[in-house]
Amino acid sequence: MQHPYQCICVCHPVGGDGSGMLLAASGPKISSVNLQNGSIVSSWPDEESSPAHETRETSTPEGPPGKKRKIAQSTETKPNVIQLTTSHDHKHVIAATGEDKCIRVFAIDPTGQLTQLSERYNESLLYRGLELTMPRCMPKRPCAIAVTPDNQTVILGDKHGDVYSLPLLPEDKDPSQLVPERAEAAPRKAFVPAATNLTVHTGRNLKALEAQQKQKDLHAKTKEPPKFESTLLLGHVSMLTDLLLATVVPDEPNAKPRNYILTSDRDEHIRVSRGLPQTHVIEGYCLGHTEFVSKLCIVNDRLLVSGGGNDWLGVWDWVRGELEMKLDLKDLLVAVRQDGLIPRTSDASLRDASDTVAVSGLWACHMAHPHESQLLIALEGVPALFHVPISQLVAQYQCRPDLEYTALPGNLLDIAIHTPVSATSAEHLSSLNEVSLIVSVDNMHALGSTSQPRSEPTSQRLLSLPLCKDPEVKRWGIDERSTALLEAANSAEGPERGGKGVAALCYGVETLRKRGGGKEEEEEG
Amino acid sequence: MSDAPPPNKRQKRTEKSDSELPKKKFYRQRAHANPFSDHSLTYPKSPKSMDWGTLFPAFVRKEQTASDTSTEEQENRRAQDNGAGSDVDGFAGMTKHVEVADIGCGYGGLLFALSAKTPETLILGLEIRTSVTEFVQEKIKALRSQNQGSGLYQNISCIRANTMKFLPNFFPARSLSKIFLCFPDPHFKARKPKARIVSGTLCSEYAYVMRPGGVVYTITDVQDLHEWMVGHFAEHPGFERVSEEETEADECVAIMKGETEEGKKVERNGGKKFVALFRRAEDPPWP
Ligand SMILES: C[S@@+](CC[C@H](N)C(=O)[O-])C[C@H]1O[C@@H](n2cnc3c(N)ncnc32)[C@H](O)[C@@H]1O
Repeated sequence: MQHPYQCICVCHPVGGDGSGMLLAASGPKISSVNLQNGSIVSSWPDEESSPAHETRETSTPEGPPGKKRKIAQSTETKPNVIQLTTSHDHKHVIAATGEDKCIRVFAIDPTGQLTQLSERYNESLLYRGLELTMPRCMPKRPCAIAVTPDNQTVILGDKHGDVYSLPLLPEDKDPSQLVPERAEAAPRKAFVPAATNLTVHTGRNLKALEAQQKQKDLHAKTKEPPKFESTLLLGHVSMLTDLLLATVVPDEPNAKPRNYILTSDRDEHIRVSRGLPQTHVIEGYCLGHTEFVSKLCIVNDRLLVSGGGNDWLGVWDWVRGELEMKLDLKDLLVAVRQDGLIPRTSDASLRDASDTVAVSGLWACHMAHPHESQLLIALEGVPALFHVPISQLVAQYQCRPDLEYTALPGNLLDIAIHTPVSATSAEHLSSLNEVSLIVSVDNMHALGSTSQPRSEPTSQRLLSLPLCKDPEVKRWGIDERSTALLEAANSAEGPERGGKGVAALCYGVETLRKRGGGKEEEEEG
Repeated sequence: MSDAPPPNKRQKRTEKSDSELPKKKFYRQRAHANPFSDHSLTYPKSPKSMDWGTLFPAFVRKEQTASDTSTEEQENRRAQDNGAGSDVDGFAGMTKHVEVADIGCGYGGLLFALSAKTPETLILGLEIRTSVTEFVQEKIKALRSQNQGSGLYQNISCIRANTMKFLPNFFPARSLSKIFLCFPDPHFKARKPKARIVSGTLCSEYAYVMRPGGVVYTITDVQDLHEWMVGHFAEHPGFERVSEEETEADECVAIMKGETEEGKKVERNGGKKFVALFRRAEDPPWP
């Protein structure tokens, strides 16, 4: 059975014909698909680097020194792609992988070929047209990535709540010359336990101290600092869930644009910090969620939409930290259920979508008049695409927003917004009315479930939903003809995967919910 | 183990009358709580939804209380305030806003000592351990009840909180003028730098809740922790270290050394106390 495409995005490589490339990650594999003719242009890791092939290569004694062995992993142990994005100039593709906690940067050429960029000076290795080298591995699992507007820097948030900046393209420096700049490292000297009895009051402290001293030497040997440049910018003492960069032109005359970093966490926070180089300044918070926040989306300038474990979306004036409105999702879910989109079941293992809401995706889809820009919403384990006009997401909007949905043949996993650009310049076409959505759905799990397998698995994982030409019809519809263009990608052999691993990769949002009754370790002191 | 203390403890605690001081032995609790775990914490959604009136009833604005409950003392206090309320966001309905936070206040020695020093300043202790928090709350209740005439101890309160996660839920931006970090747990495991109450990234949060000019007070008997804290605050662009002379002259330093439970313990053991103060700088102009 083919693995679903858990992450997709559209890229318009510089010098390309403007029709764009779809980048789609299926398990550990990233493919680039030509959106003009549907052909799969390149795949990473390279198809040819199959385990058998690699073993042969590396066992040759006089072959190139064991460099290739590093990439000679079987599909099973290759790390899954968990984040995929492009630089704003569409020259690079950035992927984060889960198991090895790494960030990988690829160059994408006009034809859509992906080339993983060299991490180390002079150690790049040309291998079947792909320049394969060392990825940058972070101390903790990356969970959100963004590229600064100047395309120089990757901002990366990790599972433990820290946000780092890394140069998009590592400098050509000998890695041993690099002193990693990490504020969490002891500033002046290492934090060594103070081993005087005067400072240790309790037996518990004393034991901890002894254990620490034993551990110290061992520790020094096993952990070396990252061999690349990275700077700790800010941190939450919580699990970081999303990260956005934003720029605002202040109202004051002649004021320069201001950059911000917005971060969200599992403890209901949305934090607004200044952008580089003043990320230590927290400007404010958007507080009001009572469950985890999993997704952030800036829909226009000062309007932020947030979603998570609450059955509503928050619409914020994020510069002022004010909640403008709550967009209710509960009614819509009930409607989806009543429409029979999610089969009724007595099976308790099917997550009941009417009971909990877990927002797994938010996208702003900008369109030109007479079409209306829309906010697109994905709820975890729900086979529908929700959409609402962005213009209605203001406190002054008197009516109930037109929140509607398009039914999908599988649970919605990801969306790539495809806006064709002109072939000559990278400018968007004057008319944004050719926007279409490429939607990735789960082909393995039953509709409405994040755990139950489908009775009849399908290979259809990618769908095309062009915008209806009639601006009055605000719906998106699955289009047979343009979906047929995705046939090669739909039928491509993905890595064989069991259902469990797929669920863990595709459905991580609901697991953020606090299970209540969190216990405090209480003992006699 | 459950969050609630064992029943026998509970009973002994509730047997006492309102004005009777709580006994520490009924409120002891294991020294370390995990700052990363969810616990069963309650905290406001945001400072605006914080119920400050219950914590500091003597500082509730007049319109907010029924006339029959307002004591002469409260009226005096309000007269002093010229009827002006707190204009700090999140303290609507209060005549004052909380200006001092004692983070990890333990059994509250510092709170009780500071209370009389600055009776018109609202001081809040934040403590992660339930029983220890309850002890401080009971003690405040008893002392308030014993001092009804003078109105002492109305300006201090204590809540259970994990400040490493939820500080901005309690305090609005730029609202605090003093933060105390007295004898924080040293967390000997060097591998868990994020478990410490001071880190480069947490300094940003302390800066956020403080007004420029406000001061962070730190004291510890663990020299390496002292250096760790000094390193992080000194390196953080939002803070500058307060000079030695000024530190010595600050009367809060003496209180911090002499009135905290840990300070007394260190004194008894003949240990050293390392003190460092940091002033919250103005935010830099936007680039
Ligand atoms: C060693 S005691 C010091 C108590 C008091 N400040 C004194 O000097 O006597 C440290 C206190 O910090 C509390 N604490 C640790 N982490 C905390 C957190 N994240 N939020 C609030 N309190 C915390 C501990 O429960 C403990 O009571």
